[in-house]
Amino acid sequence: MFPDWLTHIFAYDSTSPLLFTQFYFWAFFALVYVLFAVIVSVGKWSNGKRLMRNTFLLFASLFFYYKTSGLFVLILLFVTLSDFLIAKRIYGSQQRGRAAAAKAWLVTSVVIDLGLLCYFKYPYFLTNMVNDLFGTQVQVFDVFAWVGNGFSKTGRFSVDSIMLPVGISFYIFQVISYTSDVYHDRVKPVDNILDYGFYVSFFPQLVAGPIVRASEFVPQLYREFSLSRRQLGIAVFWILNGLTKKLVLSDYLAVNFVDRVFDNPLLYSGFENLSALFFYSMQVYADFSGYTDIAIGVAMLMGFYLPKNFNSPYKAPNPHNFWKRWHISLSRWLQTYLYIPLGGNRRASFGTYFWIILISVIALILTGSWIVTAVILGIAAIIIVVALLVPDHRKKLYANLNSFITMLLGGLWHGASWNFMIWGGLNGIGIIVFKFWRDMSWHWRMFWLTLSTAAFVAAYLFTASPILRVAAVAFVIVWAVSLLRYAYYLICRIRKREASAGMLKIGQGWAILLTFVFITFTRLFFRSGSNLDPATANQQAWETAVNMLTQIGSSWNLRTVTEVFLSYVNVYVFFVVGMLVHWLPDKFKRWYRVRFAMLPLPLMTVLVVLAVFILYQFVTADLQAFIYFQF
Amino acid sequence: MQRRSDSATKKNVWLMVAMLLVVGAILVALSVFFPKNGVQVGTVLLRFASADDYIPELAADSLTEEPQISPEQLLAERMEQMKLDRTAEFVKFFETNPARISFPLVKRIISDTAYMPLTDSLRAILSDSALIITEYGDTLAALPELREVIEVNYSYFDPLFQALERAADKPVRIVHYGDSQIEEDRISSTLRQRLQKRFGGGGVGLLPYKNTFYNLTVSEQMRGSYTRYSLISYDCDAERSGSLFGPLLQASVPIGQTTLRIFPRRGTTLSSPHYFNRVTVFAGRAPLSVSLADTTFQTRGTTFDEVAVAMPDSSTSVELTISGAGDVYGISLSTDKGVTVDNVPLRGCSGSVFINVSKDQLASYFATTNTRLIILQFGGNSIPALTSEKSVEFYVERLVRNAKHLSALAPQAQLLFVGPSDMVQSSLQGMRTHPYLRKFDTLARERLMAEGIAYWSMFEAMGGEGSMQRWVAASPRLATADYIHFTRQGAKEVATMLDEALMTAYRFYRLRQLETEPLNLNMDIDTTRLDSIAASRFEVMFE
Repeated sequence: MFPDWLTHIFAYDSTSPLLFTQFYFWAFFALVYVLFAVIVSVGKWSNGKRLMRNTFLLFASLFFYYKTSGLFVLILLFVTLSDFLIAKRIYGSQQRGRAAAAKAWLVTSVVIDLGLLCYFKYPYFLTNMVNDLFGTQVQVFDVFAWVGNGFSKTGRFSVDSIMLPVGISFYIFQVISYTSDVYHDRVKPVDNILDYGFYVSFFPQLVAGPIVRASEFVPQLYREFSLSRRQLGIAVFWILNGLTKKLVLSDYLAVNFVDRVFDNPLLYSGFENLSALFFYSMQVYADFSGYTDIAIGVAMLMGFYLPKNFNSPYKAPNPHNFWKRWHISLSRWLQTYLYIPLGGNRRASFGTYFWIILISVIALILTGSWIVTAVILGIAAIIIVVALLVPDHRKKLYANLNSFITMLLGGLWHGASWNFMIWGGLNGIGIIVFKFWRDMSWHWRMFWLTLSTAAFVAAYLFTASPILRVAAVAFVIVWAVSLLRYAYYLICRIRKREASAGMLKIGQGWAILLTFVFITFTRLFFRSGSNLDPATANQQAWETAVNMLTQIGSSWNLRTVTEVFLSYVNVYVFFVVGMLVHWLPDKFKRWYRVRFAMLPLPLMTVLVVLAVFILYQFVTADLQAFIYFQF
Repeated sequence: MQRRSDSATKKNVWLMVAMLLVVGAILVALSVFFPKNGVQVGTVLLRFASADDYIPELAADSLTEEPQISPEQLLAERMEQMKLDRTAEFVKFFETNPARISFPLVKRIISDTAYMPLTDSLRAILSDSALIITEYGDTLAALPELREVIEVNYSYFDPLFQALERAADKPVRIVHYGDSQIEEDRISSTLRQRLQKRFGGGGVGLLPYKNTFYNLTVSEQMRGSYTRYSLISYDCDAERSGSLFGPLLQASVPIGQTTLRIFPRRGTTLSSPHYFNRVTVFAGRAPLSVSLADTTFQTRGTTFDEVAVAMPDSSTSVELTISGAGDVYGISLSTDKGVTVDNVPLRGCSGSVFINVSKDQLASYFATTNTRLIILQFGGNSIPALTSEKSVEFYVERLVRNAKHLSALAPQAQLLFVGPSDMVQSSLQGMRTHPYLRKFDTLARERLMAEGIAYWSMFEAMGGEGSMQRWVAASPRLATADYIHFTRQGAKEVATMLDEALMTAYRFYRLRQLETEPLNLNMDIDTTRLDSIAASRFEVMFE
């Protein structure tokens, strides 16, 4: 019907979704930007023009989403419409003083939104659950495909599997934040659906965040467009910065090392497995934050401010602080819309108990083990009983319980698999352990650490399991360093003087390193559960994690270590350089960012071209050959 | 003030537009003028996109996309194709099918002119002769002008198939050498299972002392220690010169007394490869003392020696204690009848190491185990290093030399070379098949066939150019993200295809056997006739 090239440009193609790293995206953006420039610069600023700008960007965004996800754009339109209408009702009810009605509308909206999210995100998990509980053989059935086929099981869409629409977790959270903010009177409902649609679908942040909260973005809808020379430069900087992170530190590392090891850990030595874990930490950060950087830059060129999503997370000295630096928009979202409603750091609410029970049920289904469930319920019960009996600790215990639940649910947000739950749980444990450690005296710290180290070493010696060997070695190292710190603390105490600044710095460095290693370790469970066929993800992810730990814990052949290193020297160099840049002081980063921003435009243009050229070399670099090749 | 910042904004937004356009223009210019094959700067090859990568019309040729068949579909199709072809069109199959085994070539002498009467005595002479002479009724072509023609030797595997059919009396061994693609007993395990199901037999075959890699079929536990020497230099405890490395290309010398227990891998369903009734220890260089099943044996310390011990039928595990100064070359778990497949993964190997192994050792191993088929699966490690036509030719010649070397050491065995899988190089437009892969595949097939060795193109069988990407993208994954190795599932699919290809040859063999039995010399055999005869015979045969 249409010439091929036209179809190519305008139709959705599932094999080439629109991504920031593609040439096509930048051609799209250039075109959008030219039209945008015409809209904002011709004539005087007026409300009509503001609406025109927002409407234009809305349609550009919808096209963008269509190119990324095809007909799932209808889902996006549906939640936009439903939450727009419901928010109006909530506001109306509140104006007329009908609090119960407002609350009912809020619940309706959350149920619709979370229902859609669950439908797309957890169908395999839910059908498994039903089958396990009732011994049925229910299969996943895509209702939307069925409707799309004209109420038929066969046709254009397959009904036997459910695909996850790109970015659904992000925009669902965004619309929930809108209704909730309207309900809590943090923002007035948006009058025009075009404005509102633009808020939900704004293309730079649509598919991978940051999750923009209504209270922060809605005011920007009404603001006049402005772009200073410096902002222009900073925006260009963010875009290049993001592209570099994404293409060099993420894609290059992934393709040439990480993916292959995670795919088949048994083919690789312990050293390679361990390296892959660390590289993955770099990769996942570079990938995600690189994408956000680009989103921030692109939005900034159009005069919109997206919140900072990453703040050099690997500079965090403890797991608690890490979550204030990593995927900040999600952490803050969870804090505002989950942790605080649960009772935050003050009390346990109905929600606390509800989630404990639900999480136990989920754990039961995922593991099929009553013991695990009993342990989870038991621990929660002990905490609650202690909290009720010992009022002094109550607040702290409830706070920990709530933050643990938040972390577990944060894990499940990524997908319903045992691995994501372990990942969330480990992060929760990390935060809680850190909080107890922080509030403990050095004597108690050493006591508990020695005890746990001894337990792990004994367990290893008893079972000779490679996995316990990893744990035992890690604990022995932490224990040894802590012993030194303890000794230093005792010396200071005896001499009655403060710790020296240098020593404090070293202590801080150690804390950062330890946090990085801990976070890296939790990612073992995160990565091995990602990008899998949902139907078999659970078992496969678990197997990958166990195999990797087994390889890391098995004896290393030192001859291969140097050989691996030499064969993958590029990958190691990029990792090290990436980490060093990451650890540069913020002040210095700000300094060169501004320096870049204020460069004369012709020079900047040349630098952009050069950067694109260099990045192209990475994209087209030959795949790293399987090492040990001997010709 | 408001006005000024407003005008600055307007200026800036157009500056940005200008910058976008200029960057775009420069990049477009670059893509037009930058050499398509890149610019070599030192060791780095700089590349840039060329316009026709992006503008579909300019690249109309490259865009006539091949139908994007999923590997699952493709596999199903190949299988279906094989099943269809088996009824009659073997020849066509072996000439054209991507998953075919290419039989080696053979020289034949024919004559096409005069005729002479065919007497009984002449017929007797001819039946012993290698000459195939066209017969017409009771006359025989006279031999005034004998011509030499080169034909495909479809009977190449006949000795193997005969041996397999008689495997109930005399065990048959198949040795599968390969690179990391077959590590973990991948591919071989599927072949073994399928062959044992058809021709009987059990056992996992020859294992090193002990496995340094994971093995899908068996686990090992060792008390004591040993020093491992290997021809593959990265994977050994110490290096040593000489050629005494045995059939696995590695030798282990126990330190003091070592005890090795071999047992089925936990969690696997027990099947024929786990059951054995014969344990053979291959040793040499110096004497060893081997204890198993409460008996102690001594090896003589010759270059290559074996201790074979009968075990109760259906044993699944064994414990051996070995001490002494000699080399252990491997432990074989097999049965006294049927077929056993050895999996010999040589990680990183290009397939050109066989000429460095002791001829005596290899020849004795192949002879004592009655090795009837040697599969060589190499190339994957070298493809990335091929940068010119010359290097392809050079590498193929090395492979030919090694294959012929093995063939000479195992005169009773047939050789099947399995080429590399599809391998990719990345570019901005995605990954593309390595430029010299097809060249290698074609040349290796051609040369090995000419030298009397069969060839199976894994590259063509898995779907040809670009198939590796589709295998990686398949769900469940058939190849891992290094775009080199198959997943276990993928390895299984490939092995099944290889087995089917071999079995198609076997059915062809049986068809030919059937055909010759009641052969009527008066029958003039034309192809259409052959088809119908084959079809009807086949139905009976494979009912």
